[in-house]
Amino acid sequence: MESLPTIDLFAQGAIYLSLLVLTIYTLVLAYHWFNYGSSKKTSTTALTIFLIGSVVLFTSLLSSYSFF
Amino acid sequence: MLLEKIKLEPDEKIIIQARRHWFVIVRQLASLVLLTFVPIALVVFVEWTLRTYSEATISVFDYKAYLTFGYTLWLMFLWAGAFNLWTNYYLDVLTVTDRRVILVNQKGFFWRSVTSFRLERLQDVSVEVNGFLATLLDYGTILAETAGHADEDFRATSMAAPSHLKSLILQAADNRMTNTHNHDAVS
Repeated sequence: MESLPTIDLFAQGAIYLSLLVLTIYTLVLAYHWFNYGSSKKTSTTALTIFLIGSVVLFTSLLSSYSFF
Repeated sequence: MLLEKIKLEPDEKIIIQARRHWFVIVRQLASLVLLTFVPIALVVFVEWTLRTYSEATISVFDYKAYLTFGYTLWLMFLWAGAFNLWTNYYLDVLTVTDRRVILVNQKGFFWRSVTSFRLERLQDVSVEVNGFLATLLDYGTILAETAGHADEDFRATSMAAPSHLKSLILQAADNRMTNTHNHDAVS
């Protein structure tokens, strides 16, 4: 399937934007969990789960883009 | 961490740290899970409409890569939303010490309120359990009335086992009063 230049540009923009948003969001989450959480172990676990899920979703995003 | 922020007094002991009932977060997350099916339902509906009302041979499933891409973006959005909910849930803590009651309410990112009162100021604690599920699962609102601050509400909503928490707070207040009187009598 041949992708249209506009869609391709939009997809690339979405990838870079989601990467930026995820990075900032991870930092914000880490700040809150490590500053206001009641246990360091729980905070680390929560953040690890978030990062694993985010990496899986981002990889899926990239792989679906490769089929454009 | 939280305890460093609260700055407990010397010899101040934590009696209990309680969060809202698990049903609160499960209910919120369930709505997010439902939202994951919205794009699928939309695609199925569009495909059905095309097949039923259009003579064109086009199918939305010819654009699987685009659909997967869009759906993954949607899932990322929901994933972030789920963690927002979990953060708001987990960082809301009611702490009862042998001297104070502290309620931390995380209302959103960079938006939190910390309410506390000393046990000597406690006048009354009441519990509100409203609804069938709240009764069944044992969660409700704890309201505390304190001396001198009649207008300010101390309200901890959807707390698990509210009656148990109420009795712990009252017990702690009684102990505090007894200790304070004994200390005054000795000095």
